[in-house]
Amino acid sequence: MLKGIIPVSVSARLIRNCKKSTPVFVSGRLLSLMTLGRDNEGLITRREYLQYFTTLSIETDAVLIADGQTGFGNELSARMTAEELGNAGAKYLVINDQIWPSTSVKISGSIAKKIFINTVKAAIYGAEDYNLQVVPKLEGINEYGYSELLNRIQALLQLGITQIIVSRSNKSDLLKLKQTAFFNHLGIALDDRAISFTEARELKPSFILPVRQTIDQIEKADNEILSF
Amino acid sequence: MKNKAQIMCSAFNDLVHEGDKILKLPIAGNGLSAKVCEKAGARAINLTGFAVNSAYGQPNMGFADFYALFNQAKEIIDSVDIPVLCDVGTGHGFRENIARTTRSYEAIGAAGIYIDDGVWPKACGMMAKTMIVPIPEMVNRIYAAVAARKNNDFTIMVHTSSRDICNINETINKCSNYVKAGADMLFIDNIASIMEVSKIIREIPDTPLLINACSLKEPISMNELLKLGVSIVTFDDSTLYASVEKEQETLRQELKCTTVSKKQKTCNDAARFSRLVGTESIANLEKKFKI
Repeated sequence: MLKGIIPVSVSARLIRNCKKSTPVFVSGRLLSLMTLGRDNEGLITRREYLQYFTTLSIETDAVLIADGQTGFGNELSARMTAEELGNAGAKYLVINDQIWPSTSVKISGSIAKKIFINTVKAAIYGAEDYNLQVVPKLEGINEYGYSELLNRIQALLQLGITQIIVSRSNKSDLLKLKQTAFFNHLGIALDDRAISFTEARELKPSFILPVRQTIDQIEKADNEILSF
Repeated sequence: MKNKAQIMCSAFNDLVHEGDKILKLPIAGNGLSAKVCEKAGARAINLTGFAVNSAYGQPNMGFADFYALFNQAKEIIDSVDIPVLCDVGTGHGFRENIARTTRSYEAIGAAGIYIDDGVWPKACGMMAKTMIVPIPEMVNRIYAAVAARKNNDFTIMVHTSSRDICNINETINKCSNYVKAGADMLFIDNIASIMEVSKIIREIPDTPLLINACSLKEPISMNELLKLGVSIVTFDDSTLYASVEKEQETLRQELKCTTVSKKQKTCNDAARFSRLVGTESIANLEKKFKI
């Protein structure tokens, strides 16, 4: 089960320095920033991500959370993504509900609930031979609204999903979510600045993925290097 | 397939030690040729550096580096459900590189690797002059590989082309040292005579031996080879040449043609090809997840 503050990294050195049992989110967005210099996870293809992930997995022995983005295409691609990343040693697989290819800063749109549920089912099917837990990520609240977010969460829970990531929600929506019976199934991804790290922590979700904060630190480190 | 890596390592060892049948290892260099091997009834596959370099359109002279070979190996392993034995050349460098090579191939589900005693960068014996490292250096390569594997069933085989430049006694002496260092199996290239095969097996009796069936100058049945004690045979690159030849022939016809006509044969070929790559099962899966 994912718990607490989850480090977000694509650095083998950082991952090696984590405790062996600490899960690390290998973010597609960070990989895009690192390899392409662009803040857009959708530029990273499944094959590119898989190659990088495989190397990290072999060289670090860590519990890795793979970023399956939208599943990189349709339901069939989601199945293959799960199979390949499971085979590469991922323990968790994040699949978001954006349209393909997903984007990082401003999202282009969300897929219909039915299609997303089928995508998650396909990913679960692909993961079944591996010790791989599928963690759906809901990113479209600003497009489909709070009540559709609840619908999606309930549909995923009915499917047997135990942990769900909610992203791009503001503080008031998250406070409403905190009052629900299923809040203990939720993690918060901080992909934008809709809510600060401190505010997210005060809500005490099951886990937090501080993506934006990690990028801020990397940018700060880059600027320091440039100032030498 | 659940625990595919473990299953493939054990399956390969079982096939090698079967005793009543020689294990034939056809050569593949990409996912498609691996599927052709599997459908043809091969029980395991030999992924050679030559075939992988060829898939990149290059001669086997060190063009395919660690990652190119590794990536192709992963594609092949993922596309079939039979053990794949992988040529890793000289191991791609020094001790730490060889350790990385070993754990990487083990992680992707290879049944084993074979490391050769040539000098690095690797040059194919067919295309360049064979050069062999001294025994202590090769022994260190073997130590590095054996220490890096997690599963003892993951085969560490030694490939030697020493017979190209040494006499049989020197070759046997080298191989004995390799076995003492921990090599699980031996792949001795360019053994020309049955007498030499017998001598090797007599002097290194408990180590499974792989030979290239096409290097023998005298005709001998597989049963006789098995009786001599040979466990595994592989072949030359004839399947690769055959596919290139067929492709060239088809291309000659296509580029020469002056009229457009649908060939009856094409439909049959397409259906056969679809069966080979498993189009139907993937299409069924796709339907399963569609609304």
